[in-house]
Amino acid sequence: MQGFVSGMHRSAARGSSVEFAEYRKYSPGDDPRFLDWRIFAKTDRFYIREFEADTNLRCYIVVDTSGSMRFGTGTVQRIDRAKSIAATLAHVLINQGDAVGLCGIGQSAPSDIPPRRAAKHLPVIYNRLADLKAANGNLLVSGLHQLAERIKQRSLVIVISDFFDEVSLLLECFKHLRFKKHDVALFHLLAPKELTFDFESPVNLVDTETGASLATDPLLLRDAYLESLNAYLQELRVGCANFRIDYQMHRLDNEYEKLLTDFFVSRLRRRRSSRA
Amino acid sequence: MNYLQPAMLWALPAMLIPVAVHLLNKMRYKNVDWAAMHFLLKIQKDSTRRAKLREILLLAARTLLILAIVLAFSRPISGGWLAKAISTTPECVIVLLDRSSSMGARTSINGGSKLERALSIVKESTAQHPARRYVLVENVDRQPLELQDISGLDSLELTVQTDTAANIPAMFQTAVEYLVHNQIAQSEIWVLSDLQATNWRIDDPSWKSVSEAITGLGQGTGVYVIDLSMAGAENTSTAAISATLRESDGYESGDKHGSPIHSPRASQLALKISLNTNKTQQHSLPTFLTVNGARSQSDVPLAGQRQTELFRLDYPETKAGWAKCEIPVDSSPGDNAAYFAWPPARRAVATVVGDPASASTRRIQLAAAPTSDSRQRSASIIPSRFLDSELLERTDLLVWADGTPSMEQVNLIMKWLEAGGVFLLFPPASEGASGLNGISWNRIESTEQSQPITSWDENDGPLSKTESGTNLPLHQVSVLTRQTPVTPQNSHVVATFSDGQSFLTRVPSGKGQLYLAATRVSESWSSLQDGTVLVPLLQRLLTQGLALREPLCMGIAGEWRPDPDEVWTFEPDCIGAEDQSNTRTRTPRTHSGVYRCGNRIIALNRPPTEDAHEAVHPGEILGLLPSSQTHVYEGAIESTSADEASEVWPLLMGLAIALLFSESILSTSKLNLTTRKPMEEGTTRVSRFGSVAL
Repeated sequence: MQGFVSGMHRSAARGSSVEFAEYRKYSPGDDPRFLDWRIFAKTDRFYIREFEADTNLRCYIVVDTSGSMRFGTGTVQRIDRAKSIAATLAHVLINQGDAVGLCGIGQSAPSDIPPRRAAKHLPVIYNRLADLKAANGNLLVSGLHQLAERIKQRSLVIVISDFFDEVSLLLECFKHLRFKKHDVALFHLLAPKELTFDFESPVNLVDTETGASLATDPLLLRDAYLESLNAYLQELRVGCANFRIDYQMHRLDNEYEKLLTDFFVSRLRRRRSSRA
Repeated sequence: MNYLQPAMLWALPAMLIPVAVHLLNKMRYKNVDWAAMHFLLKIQKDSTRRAKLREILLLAARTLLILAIVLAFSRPISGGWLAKAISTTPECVIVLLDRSSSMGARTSINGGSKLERALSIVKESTAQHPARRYVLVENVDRQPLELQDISGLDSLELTVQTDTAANIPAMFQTAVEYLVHNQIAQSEIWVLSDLQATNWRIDDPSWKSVSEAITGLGQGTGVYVIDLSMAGAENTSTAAISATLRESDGYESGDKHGSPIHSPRASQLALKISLNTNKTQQHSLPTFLTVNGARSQSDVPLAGQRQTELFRLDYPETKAGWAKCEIPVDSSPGDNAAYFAWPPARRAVATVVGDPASASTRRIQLAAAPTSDSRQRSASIIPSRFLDSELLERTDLLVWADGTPSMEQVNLIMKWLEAGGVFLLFPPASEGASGLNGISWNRIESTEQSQPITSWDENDGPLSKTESGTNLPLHQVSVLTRQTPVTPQNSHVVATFSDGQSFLTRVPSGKGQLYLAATRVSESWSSLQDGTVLVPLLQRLLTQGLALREPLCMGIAGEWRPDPDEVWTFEPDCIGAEDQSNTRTRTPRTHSGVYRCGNRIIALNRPPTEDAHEAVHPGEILGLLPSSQTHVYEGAIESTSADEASEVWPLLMGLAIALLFSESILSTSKLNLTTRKPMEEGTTRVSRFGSVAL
């Protein structure tokens, strides 16, 4: 991460922290202050000592506000869970001195809040989250591409969505974000029914985004649906792995605290492993 | 399709229940918001089609299930003629039962006969479909008999197998008259017959009136013909042709040295039978002869499918007797026996009318009776003026050698001919009418060249082949002068010249036969006087005259009618011991066999028409009767039970079970789907794409 202040997050760039990172051969233009004269005395070669750069975090929390986010369990809608997760993440990150921005991607124009680390920024985020409504269109793919172009500094981009779109298109977005040197984490929110498709009686399924309906006997569609969903999840997960993207799937009937704990723990492990 | 419990068909609207449930179920679809439509749209096309197919199959299975159950309870009848027949309950059912000789045919030696099959069909049908009234018309009496108890049909004497023929159009006529007389509108005529063409007589003019009468009865009258014809069964039959008792001349064939043996009073019995077979592998046929109760056996070599066999037996007596010829029992036992009877032997008498001093007349006398002291035959010459009724009464063959009979003599001769006898008339040598039965003579034709005789009936009649199969030498007869007769339409030309003119013509006259020759026994007319043709011709005509004047000894069962005052009893020795119990039902009107009345004896055989196996085609029957009211069904013995009328509820119940099973499979297919474990967070699902950690 790269910020204007020193933070608790290890930066991808080499910096001026006290933690030694590695040696590398001197090249013209390097700061001679980092020449290791002892090594020169031993080997007659110039080596530069590099240290880990600790920096603060710039995080963009992207909340999908497409119509499909209205779906959920009987008590929780996906958009509500997304807001909760986003609010929790914002609270944690701002409290530890990181800058947090918010971006809602839906039918309406993207509503960005640029990242700030001030504590007074948190209510702004909360208010904006409260204003977010799940609209009818799905503009996640285009919204992410626009976001990738808008963000000028390397950031952590956390996308909270159901990702109901073509996996290839989604992976193109993620690739775009990664190309812009952003760290990307996905929170994939799925309702239990979307995972089990366990309707007991014939239903008329109404698309929450387009309003199209499909009257069917779910018992007949279930196998094919689960097969298709399974293929989609596998493709998505493999794609994320290829692009080194954190992927967390969350069932709406589960508590999201565990999801966040797992997320943070995985980030911590990743940091340690990369340091090792 | 017809039903024994048609009231159950009122439950058929229950078939709409699954349809209604289906529609209600459609209305019960709940609207559910759904986000992951992305995946459903991918699979919608195939799945929707499968879902619709499944719905249609389920709906069809449930509807058909109810239909099958309702139909099963309504007990439908299918697969046979009865199903068609019982569409409405008729007021009267008339059973036309053909119990002719051919109805005794069986599929195998131990199998049932066609008649038994027919009775079985009637009993089964009436048990399943009782009508208000049953009437039986059988082929012998052809009188309508109202039956009180149809179940005892096979115990009636009127349903016993006979050796008679059937007149199917006459039976129809009886049935129609009964229906018209009793004014029955709703009726059915069941005809149980083997469709033998000689019995159905499709050329009979009465069919037209029968058809019109049935049409006039209206659509309420139906005709159901049960076809019991059966083709292809191997069969051999025998039939009696003649039985002749000849008293010996005293000289038989001779001893071993060739010398004639004088054995006065010895007689010879000649039995002629015909054998017909459709077997190709049989080379000889065991034949059993029973003469006056004495039984013997001989093997007859078979030369073809049709042949005539002559049995010559020494017969020590001259009185009347009977005989029976049997062949082994086969598929048609009714045609395996032939019965014979003959009168006491007597001398045949020929009378030659002509000039006693004429050589040609004398030659004719000698040709008719070669030995003057013969006990078999005698011939005398008388001038025409001495011919009277008393002389004619003793005469079997009358030969008119010269001139023409007077009108008074013509009357006497015609009366004599009506009672039997044979009259041979030579040309009168004068043109004009003869006064005999419309016969006249053409002018005399004389030629220097002999007019050859080129064709004659060599199989039957007085010019037929000898018993050894040799033709008579008619082609050697030289005819220089001839006078051909002009004969009526019922005449039959026995022999013709090369130009087509008749040499010998036969004119039937009552029981007798009139023969007209076209030339005389005279040197100036022809070479008939040589005797090579004249002798056998006159001998045969004398034998024929004798037979025609004998009292009837052989007849046709069913056709021969004894005087009502006479009591004829069955000769029990003429049938086997196994059939002795049936002698009570054997009467001259119904059964073949030998019957006695005092000293008189008669042998009755089945009608020759019963040996003709040709059957009328069902299409011809539909042409004879109103086609819209007539139905022909197969009911032959070899037919399978599937062709019979039968209740089909077991089939329907089986179908219902199958439908129930199908419905359960279609319905429970959802169980298989719901048993799939839903995906859980963090679990691993195995799919065709491999393992994925979630």
